[in-house]
Amino acid sequence: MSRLTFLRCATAIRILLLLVVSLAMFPPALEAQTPGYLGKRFSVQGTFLSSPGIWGPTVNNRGIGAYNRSDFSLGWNWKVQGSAGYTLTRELEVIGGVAFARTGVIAEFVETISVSNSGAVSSNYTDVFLTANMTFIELGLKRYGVSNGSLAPFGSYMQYLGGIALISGEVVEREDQINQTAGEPLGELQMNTRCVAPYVGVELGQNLIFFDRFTVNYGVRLSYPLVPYGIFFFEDPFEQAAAKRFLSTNAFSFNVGTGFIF
Amino acid sequence: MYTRIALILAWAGLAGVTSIAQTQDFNNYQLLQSSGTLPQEVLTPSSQKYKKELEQLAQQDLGKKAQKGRSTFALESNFVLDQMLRSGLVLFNDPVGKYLQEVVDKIKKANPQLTKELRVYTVRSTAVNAFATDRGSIFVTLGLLARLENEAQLAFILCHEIVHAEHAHSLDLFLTVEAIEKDTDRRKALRESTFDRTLVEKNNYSKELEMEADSAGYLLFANTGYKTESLERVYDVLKYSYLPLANTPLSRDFLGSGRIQFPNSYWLDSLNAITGSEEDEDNPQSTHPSLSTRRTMLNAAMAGKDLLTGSNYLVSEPRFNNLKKVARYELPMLHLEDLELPEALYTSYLLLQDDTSFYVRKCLVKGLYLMAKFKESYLWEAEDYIDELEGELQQVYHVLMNMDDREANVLALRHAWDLHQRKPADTEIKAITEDLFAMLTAHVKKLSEFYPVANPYAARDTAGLMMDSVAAAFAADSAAYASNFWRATFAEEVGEPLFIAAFKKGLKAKGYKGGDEDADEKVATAPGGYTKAMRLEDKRNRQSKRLGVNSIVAVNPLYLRLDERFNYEVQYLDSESGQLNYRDMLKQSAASVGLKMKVLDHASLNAKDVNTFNDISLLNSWFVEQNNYEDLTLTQGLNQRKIDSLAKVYKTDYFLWSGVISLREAEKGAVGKLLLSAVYFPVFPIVLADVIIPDYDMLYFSIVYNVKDIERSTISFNYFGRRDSKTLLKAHLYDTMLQIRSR
Repeated sequence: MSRLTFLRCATAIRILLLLVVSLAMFPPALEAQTPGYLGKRFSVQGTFLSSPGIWGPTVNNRGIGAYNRSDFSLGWNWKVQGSAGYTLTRELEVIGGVAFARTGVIAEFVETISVSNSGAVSSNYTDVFLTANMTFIELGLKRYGVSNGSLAPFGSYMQYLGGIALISGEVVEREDQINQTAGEPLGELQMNTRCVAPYVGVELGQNLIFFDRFTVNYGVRLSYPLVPYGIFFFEDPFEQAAAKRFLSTNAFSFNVGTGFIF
Repeated sequence: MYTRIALILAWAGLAGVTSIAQTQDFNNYQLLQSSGTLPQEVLTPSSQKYKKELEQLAQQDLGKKAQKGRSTFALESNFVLDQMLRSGLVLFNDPVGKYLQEVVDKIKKANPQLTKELRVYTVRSTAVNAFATDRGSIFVTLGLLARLENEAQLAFILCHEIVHAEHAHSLDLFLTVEAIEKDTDRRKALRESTFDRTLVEKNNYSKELEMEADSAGYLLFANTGYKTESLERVYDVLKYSYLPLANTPLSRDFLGSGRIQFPNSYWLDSLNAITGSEEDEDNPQSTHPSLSTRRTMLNAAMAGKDLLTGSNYLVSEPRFNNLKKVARYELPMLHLEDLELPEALYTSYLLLQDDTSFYVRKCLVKGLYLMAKFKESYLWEAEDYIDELEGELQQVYHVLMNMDDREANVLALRHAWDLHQRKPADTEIKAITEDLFAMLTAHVKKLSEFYPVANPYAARDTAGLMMDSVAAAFAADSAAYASNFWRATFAEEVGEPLFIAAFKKGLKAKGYKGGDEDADEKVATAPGGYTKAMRLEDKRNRQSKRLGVNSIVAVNPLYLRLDERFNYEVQYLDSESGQLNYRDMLKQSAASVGLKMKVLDHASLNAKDVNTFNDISLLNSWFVEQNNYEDLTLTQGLNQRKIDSLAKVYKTDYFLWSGVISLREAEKGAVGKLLLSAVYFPVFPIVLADVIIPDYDMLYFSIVYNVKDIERSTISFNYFGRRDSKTLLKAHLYDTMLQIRSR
């Protein structure tokens, strides 16, 4: 792990810790009742999230901007999430979850070779298509619209969320563009295929309850990675591409989930 | 054995005498209420009655159209009638109702051709009215009984109503009105005409039915043996029905309690003359024919008859007079309940002309107390219609309208203090007096303000009479007098230890420094304050309360379902079943948080539960009162003593009023939306879903009162743009119970 990646990761962990501590301290002190739906405060839920494959390939190399494909194909990225919730007050519920997603990433690897003693350099380029496996660890705070008739964990809500995504890549396909001046073809790519991306987001949704126990949830989510993509160059081409892909995959998604409360 | 029977009969007789004597204790008059056993028609669910009628209709060989009209009538009439029977306005087995029933039985005995079973009920209302249903229920208001001269007049009115019931006029009118409304030609004519021709047609038919009831009613009456001599004067009762019982001039001395000399400007020089309703005017807006038409018809029917034959009383003259007095004694309280404060004060005044009843005095004090309360919040206005009033009532309105909040406070306290001295043990008057003292502190900080040495207007000689200088100032009606006359009110009490103690207690009382609602008002009226006020309200909605209550009584939980697509009609069957479900959910929610709850509702009553029925009526009436006083500071209920006793009976001071009103909205502009969505096809599925999925609105409220301390906690009073699903109701009821239970 590079130093910059480590620093970003440490910052993300600090933010998460701060969030946990704030949630743990303030809301229960504000309200010491037993909120929740009929007193049931805990919930577990499985959620399926999906976003259209635009600005990059899906894991099956479909969608707009697919790798080496000129034909139009519609593709969807997917993500599954398992989460647990705890109702803090009549309008607040804290959520912790783990999610897993896969998508396609196109990275460009550049190898710079010194070709003369005068300091002249030449570069070889490699376009790489990778499958990115993303594991998300996130914390969220759902705020239910009490004035609209919702009461945590039932009804319409807005969720503020933050988390970290652990991304690892597997090379599926590569295409080398060897500069003749450089002479030698490329060997194994000197590319770090693991990185961490902290992110924040909001979700608007509805949580329905059936038979006093089962929940069905649906909504839309917007999230944004907390990496300076586009502002600074990354040390690593994969990190650069993954961050970009992370943004386009997760920026906007629909979600449907089901679970139960207890 | 005979001795035992004689003893039993003697006891029964004595009991009867005691019962009559109790109703005749007009000094400590007790308001009418239901007694005995509750009639079956109150206990049977409306849906059950409706289904039974549907079965009967199915057996009749009617056309499909006629069947539909009759089944709609059966549905609406059963539910509306039951709602009225359970409203608390209708009394069962009360002395007035029993007497009315005896008169009806006499009429029926004299007219064996009458087939329907007739039941007659008293209605607690100041209106001068009687009405009947096609099922044989007849209703007579106390306002009417209070004005009738004798039993014969009452019998004539009952004969009129019996004809309505016997001929099922209400069904007849319903079907005719429905036919008029559905008639396409008439609808077209309505659109083209400048006035409501449909209404006129409906009223014309109603007038025909009224004339039939008058003429056929007279034929029934003629068989009874009642004297006809006073019948025509029944129409005089109707003619002057909008006026108080009499037109006795209002005494300045009475109103001022002998201590306050109102400035001349508070008294009108002349009053509008009493005209009565227009005799000849055949008002197209009215459902009844003109009085002259009715008089003419009656006189024609009576022509050639001996008007003096028979008797004015076939049941009992003393009972009629006694119950007429009962009806009159009910009126001030009914006026107070309707917030007709000048009418309540004037009716009390009229009753006190022949009596010194403590009860009537109390009504007077309660009226003045409420007037002071409304004046304190600047919520009593009469300017718009004072010029239309006739007779002495105009004077009452005028003097009350001229008083400012301080004068109204002082006047109410003057009467309350007098009554409190007369009967210190009366808890209602004691509480009112204390509250008036507390209110007074907003206007009077020191007792010396009542009797400043420098103020000549309050000066009195050693005999307590006004000195010449005061009399002169009063005669001159100076501006100085007009702004200071109230100071003389307690000039003599300021040195009394009891009065001083009460005043000091008032100074310590809380609640007159401006509550939250005042603060909201200030915020809302400030520049740009509306948004801030909305934010505050939103914040309050989000905050939960902790009342720390262990035991509570839920009063008549409400569930009502309306449908905008059908002119906001009540969905009666759904509402009835929804009410039962809602009651059960309330109980479950309370149990889930360990809150002990008793639910008082009509659906759970048995025939013997007349006391519970009365309790529900009393509590609902108190709740309506408190809602009327919502913008006022803490206000004693009109029957606060009884409410306090209910708190003892149910072993809790906390009572809950909770309910849901659910509205199915009409989808507006569906075609337009779909057409517009066709312009941009991707949104079509969303628009289609919006059009297909029905929209709902609902109001959920849960209001808890500590009835003894009169503290209101609005747990919820919110409109939600969503359906009243079981889950949503459960979630909110649980939340409500939690807030009530949590400490």
